[in-house]
Amino acid sequence: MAIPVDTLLLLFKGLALPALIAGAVLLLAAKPWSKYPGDAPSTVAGVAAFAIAFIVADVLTRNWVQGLDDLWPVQADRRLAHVALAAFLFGGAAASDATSDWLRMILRGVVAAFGVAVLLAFMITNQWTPAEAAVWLFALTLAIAIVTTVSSAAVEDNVSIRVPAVLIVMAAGVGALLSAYASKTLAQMAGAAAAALVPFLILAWRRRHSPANAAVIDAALPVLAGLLMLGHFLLEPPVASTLLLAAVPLTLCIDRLPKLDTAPRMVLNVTTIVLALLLVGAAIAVGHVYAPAPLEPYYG
Amino acid sequence: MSITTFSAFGITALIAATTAGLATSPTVPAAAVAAASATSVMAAETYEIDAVHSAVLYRIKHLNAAYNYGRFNEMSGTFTIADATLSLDVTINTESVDSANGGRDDHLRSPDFFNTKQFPTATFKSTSARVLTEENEDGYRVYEVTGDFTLNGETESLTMPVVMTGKGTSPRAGKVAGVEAMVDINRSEFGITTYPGMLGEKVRLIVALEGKLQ
Repeated sequence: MAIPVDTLLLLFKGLALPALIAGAVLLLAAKPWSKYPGDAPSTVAGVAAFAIAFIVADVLTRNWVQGLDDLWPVQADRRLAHVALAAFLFGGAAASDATSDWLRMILRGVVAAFGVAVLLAFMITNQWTPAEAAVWLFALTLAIAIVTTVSSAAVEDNVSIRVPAVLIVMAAGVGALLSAYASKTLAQMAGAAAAALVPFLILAWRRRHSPANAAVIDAALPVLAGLLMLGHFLLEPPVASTLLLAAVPLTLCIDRLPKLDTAPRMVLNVTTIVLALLLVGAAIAVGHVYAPAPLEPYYG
Repeated sequence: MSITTFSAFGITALIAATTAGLATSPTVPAAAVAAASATSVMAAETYEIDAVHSAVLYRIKHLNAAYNYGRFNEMSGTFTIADATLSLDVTINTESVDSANGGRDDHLRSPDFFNTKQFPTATFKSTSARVLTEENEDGYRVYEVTGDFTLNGETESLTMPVVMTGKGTSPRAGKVAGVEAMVDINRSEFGITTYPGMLGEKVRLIVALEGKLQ
């Protein structure tokens, strides 16, 4: 059976294209013409590679920019690109070694607050009281900023492949949950995020100490958190599934646990990835158990 | 025969002939004439939409092969019929979308289509109207109504013919009236761009409303 052209085009725009763009940005930033073998993509390059790849995939896959009016869309799910843009503008500085710890936290807070505010504005309008809105906005902003900071701090000394691997596992889990709860387009965007992270996996394999590999946390986590928030409030999967997926980046901190802090890198990588897979598996399993099963078969 | 008597006879004959001619006209039903006469002198009447006896249907082409129909089961609002104009104020509960398939209904409620959590309603508010024709082939008055249609957070101006389909009396609701409209929209103008090759761009809306006199 031949695959329809539309499907092939969608796969290209949603998966191949973000991977190609992120890869191209990293390759350019790696200065292949440089005489110095130590040259590696910087923090800014890491943030830019993910953000540009995600924004292009989002716009092309869902075809939502048809005029200048659409640049600030009313639909909350179309503001993920704006969150990626904010992460691009502030993430590079937040991930840089030259930035003080306090400033990093503030920059991450700004990105998180922006993401929460633009993605969940409809909850303020439609559902929350001003007091509830204040509590939700503050709590979610703080949670995203803390998870980003903790995850980023944990990998400073030991980046390796586990950073992109854990983020890819998280993106795939978010996509699977959103697809099960009836949004194919949000699931596609999680897929695009996962695809944009694949070049980082290759980069980590080739150059373990590339600053770009740690910096991608500052670009990818706000976007993945945004997808998770949108999915939670628009599609209403079980709270447990959302929390389990939100906890996936914290698996990067396991090298701070006793006995694992001195474990070989390979053991640490495998343990981290297995733990991330277990969390995602549990989130999907809980989501599957509580998913409202359609009475009739539905296939698009 | 005096001139006065002649005139009275002539006028009586003229009225009789005119009345007989209208009553037997093959193209203009008597009921339509009565309705037209009634509407031509009536004051504005506002009807509250009765969702039980109303329908909002949509039609979209699937895989460029067949038309798929669905409906919204909950709507509210009013329509006002006046001498030479008609106004509509309709609110549709998008959460009530019903495509006869539970899984598809969930998908239609998601951000891929109607995004019902963010946009729980679609609305049409008329801004102007005029009589398009006094009697269509079924003997009904047809209005051309222009208004703002808001769906998925996007508002576009729509102009469509609205047929006043009749009036009646209900033992429960009292005086009732009905209107019907049909209009094609481009879904991408309302931000619904999912599956561009699989689903048609043009969506037909068919709205049949019954309202009870307020």
